[in-house]
Amino acid sequence: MVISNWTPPDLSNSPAENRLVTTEPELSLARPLDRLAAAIIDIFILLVPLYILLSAPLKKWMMTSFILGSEPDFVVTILAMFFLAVMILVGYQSVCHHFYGATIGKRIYDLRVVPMFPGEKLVFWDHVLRSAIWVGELLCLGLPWLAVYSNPKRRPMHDRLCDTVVVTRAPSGVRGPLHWERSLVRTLFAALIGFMTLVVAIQIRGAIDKLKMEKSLAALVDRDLGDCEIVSSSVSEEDSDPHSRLKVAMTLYAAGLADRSCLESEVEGEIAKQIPVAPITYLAQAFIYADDAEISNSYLDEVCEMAPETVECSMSQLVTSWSDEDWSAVAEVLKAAPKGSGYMEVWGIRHYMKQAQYGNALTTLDGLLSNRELAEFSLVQRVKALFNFYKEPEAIAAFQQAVLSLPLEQGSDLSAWMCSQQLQNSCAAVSSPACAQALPDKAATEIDFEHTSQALAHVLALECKGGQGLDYMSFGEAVRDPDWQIFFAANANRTEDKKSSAELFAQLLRSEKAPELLRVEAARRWVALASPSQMQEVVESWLTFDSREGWVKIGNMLFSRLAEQKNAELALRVAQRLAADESLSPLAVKILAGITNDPDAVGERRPASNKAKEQIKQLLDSTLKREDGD
Amino acid sequence: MIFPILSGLVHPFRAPATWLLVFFNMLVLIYTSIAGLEAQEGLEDVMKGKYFLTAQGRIYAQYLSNENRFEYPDFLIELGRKVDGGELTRAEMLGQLAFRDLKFMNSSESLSYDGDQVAFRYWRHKLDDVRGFQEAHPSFTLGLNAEDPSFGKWVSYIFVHSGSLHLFGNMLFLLIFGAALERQIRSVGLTIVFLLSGVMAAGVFALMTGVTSSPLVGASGAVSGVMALYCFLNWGRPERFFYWFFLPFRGFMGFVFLPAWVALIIWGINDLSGYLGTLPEMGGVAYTAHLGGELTGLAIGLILYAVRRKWPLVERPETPQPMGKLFPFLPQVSIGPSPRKTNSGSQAA
Repeated sequence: MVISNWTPPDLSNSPAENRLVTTEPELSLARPLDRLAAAIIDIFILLVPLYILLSAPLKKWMMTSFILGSEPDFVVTILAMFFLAVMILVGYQSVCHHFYGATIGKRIYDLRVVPMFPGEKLVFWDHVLRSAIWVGELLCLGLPWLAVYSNPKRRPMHDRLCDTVVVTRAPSGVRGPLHWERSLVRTLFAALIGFMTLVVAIQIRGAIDKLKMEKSLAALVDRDLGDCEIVSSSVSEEDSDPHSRLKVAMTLYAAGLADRSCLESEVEGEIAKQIPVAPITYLAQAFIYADDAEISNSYLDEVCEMAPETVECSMSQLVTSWSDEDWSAVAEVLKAAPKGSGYMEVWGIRHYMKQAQYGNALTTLDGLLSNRELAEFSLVQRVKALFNFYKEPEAIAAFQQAVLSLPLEQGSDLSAWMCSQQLQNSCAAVSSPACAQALPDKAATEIDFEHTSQALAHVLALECKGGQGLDYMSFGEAVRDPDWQIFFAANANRTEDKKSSAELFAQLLRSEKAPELLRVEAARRWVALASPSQMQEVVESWLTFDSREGWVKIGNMLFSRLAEQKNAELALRVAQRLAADESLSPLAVKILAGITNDPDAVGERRPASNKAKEQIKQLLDSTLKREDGD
Repeated sequence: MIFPILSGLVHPFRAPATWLLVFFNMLVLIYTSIAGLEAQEGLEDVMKGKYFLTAQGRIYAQYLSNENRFEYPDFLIELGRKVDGGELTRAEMLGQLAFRDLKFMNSSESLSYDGDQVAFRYWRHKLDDVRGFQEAHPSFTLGLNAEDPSFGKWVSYIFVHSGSLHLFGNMLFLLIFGAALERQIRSVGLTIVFLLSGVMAAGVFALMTGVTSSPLVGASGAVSGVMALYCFLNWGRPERFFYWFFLPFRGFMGFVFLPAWVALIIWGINDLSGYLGTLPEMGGVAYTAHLGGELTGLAIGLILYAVRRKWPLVERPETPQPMGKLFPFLPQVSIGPSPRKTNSGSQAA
């Protein structure tokens, strides 16, 4: 296939000619697809195997640096492999074109690279330049090669800059590009430029958004590096305890102010600093692997084996009892546990709030006054405990203090809770500070039903303002949450079909998936709606209510209503259950004390005295014994 | 893409040994898949267990820091040092690599660990499960591994494959080259070459890479030997290759006649690159076994050439080959001497 005594064709005076007439057999421009096929043979069949062989040591180095996480080495190997690929391509093409006029692929398709102008001789460096530009075009995804369809002599950039042309003797040779070929390429380039502009614009916008989020990104990065920001801001630098950060993380996690990944990063941080493993480490691991019972329980067992009679062991026992929902065991552990760890107290407060033991919760909260990192948690729990413990004036004062210190979201949640609780008692609370905070001027359509306390506060406020004229059907159609749909449907039927309304409220009360606030509100409305003959069913549902806090609230509502209906038997049974649990409200005590004509009867919103409680107990016992005797 | 199409699809009666080997391998795969299903699922569950792998990685890191450094490659020591120093993102990877260290795996009972004792006990307990799965898994009982490097394993490993894709790849090349070779050296000759190449491939693998707790399985060493011998015996003869340049244009797909050594060069370069470019600790393709098989095939070829100066070529049938019948429209390009006329007489691709 070597063409001897071959002189370059004269193309300079005949730009429109497609046939190149010389003393040699006719030559024509190489078909673009032949050039592409030749390039494919050169690259994929010849050069790629060679490149894979020569770059094998670099590949090994790259793999090692990737495994070891050595970024500089990794980048160097990538660059070296890229450089090697370029060298192989440029070297192969330069040598083949200079000494043979064609690469192996071109020779298979009978193509030649020849100088464009007669008499011009190309030196080796011309071919090197041509090959280098060719590689550059390859890196641009080969798009510059489309010039073979627009240039009259089918010469892309590398041919034009080096004064070469690719020709062939084969019958597959072609003319210069036709009009439609040139138009197609120009359209394609225009579309490409437009697309790239769009992509660049989107990328710039994305970069601007990322810059705005820099602060939270930095916090995430810090956390990924084992430095939980919230723990760092809470730990004193003077603290010499190597586990101080982990203890703070455990406390914050108990209070819901740090998540599991923060705990995990603190444990990893201890391992990185080679701090010896301690019971607190195993305790933290038990929380980290809480989803795997086998692993978590192993860690909990190890805590007490390693260090019995410590606060960590007590915490381990508490977690086990909590998982079993053995609340009496939890209470025992809390009573006996050593104080001062922080996280033990927080779990204690959570337990007391859950069990509606607000007195104990307040006592424990007093012990956490000095923990500034728990301020968010303490403030909120104090307000709720005071309110639920019938100390409303103190609760309002604590609320006003809390709202000033809490972040916006937590403050709104607390305000909404407080407002909804107050509105359940009286519509006069619409003008209270909590409702003023929780209910900015918002249209009914803007109520966020994802946040139950805020939604309930809004609905109660609307009812207070609009009386019974609220369009519950429209609300029910607009809301997507199924529990709220049932709630609004029940309210819509309240005047016309009390029976179905009561059934819907009962359904909501019994639904364990519905939010507790909504269930208690449904119970309140059911109690108000139910006829005397239906109260037995209400009592039965109340007795099996799963949440302690809700059970106490509903029970006291129920007793008041039964007392109004003068249903003495059921009322006294409810009162007895509440009294046994020490959960009678001051109003219930007042009602019962009224029966005894006791001068120590207390007001509606203050806790009962011990004397009153004793008298009520005696009343209840004697009344029920008399009834049993009858 | 370029792919050898030698004799086309040879009838089983013309290449009985090849077809028997293929079917036998398929039967073994079916058996091992069924017998090892439970063990395979158990092993996969263990491999997915992040806690177990992370614990193993941490324990292995401490083990490496206490052991003789010269026994282990530098990157492994360095990786262990990083995990020990708190880079726990790499602990899982190190845990995966630890499976290949038989000495470490066997020392689990006597090992002491200064760290999370719960994780350590959990790891020991899970390791007992892993051993149980391995003892029940055919790849471990029939493959070549450090636990039991007896001679029987040097032969049985050839017929065990890790999955259907692994089997398909090996059997495809066995059919292509084995059938063609069998017509030259007969069925007994092919069987001997196949088995001998497999055994020698295992030997080279043991010498260059080293047998570990991860078993060596697959017929690729044996198939490499068959391929190498065929290429040697038909060194300069033009063989048909199918090519495709991934684009639907005229001349971008067809047949081309190239000397047989082209296949050997392509295969050899691929295996050599793989050997030089991968870390043996990472497992995967056993390139040294491939190279061992190829060298064995070439050695057998040299011996045959020394014994018989000219090896008679079995005449190919005149009837068109199935591949030619299937693709009559495809052009055939000849580079170098062509054994027959091209379909169109055209030189262009």
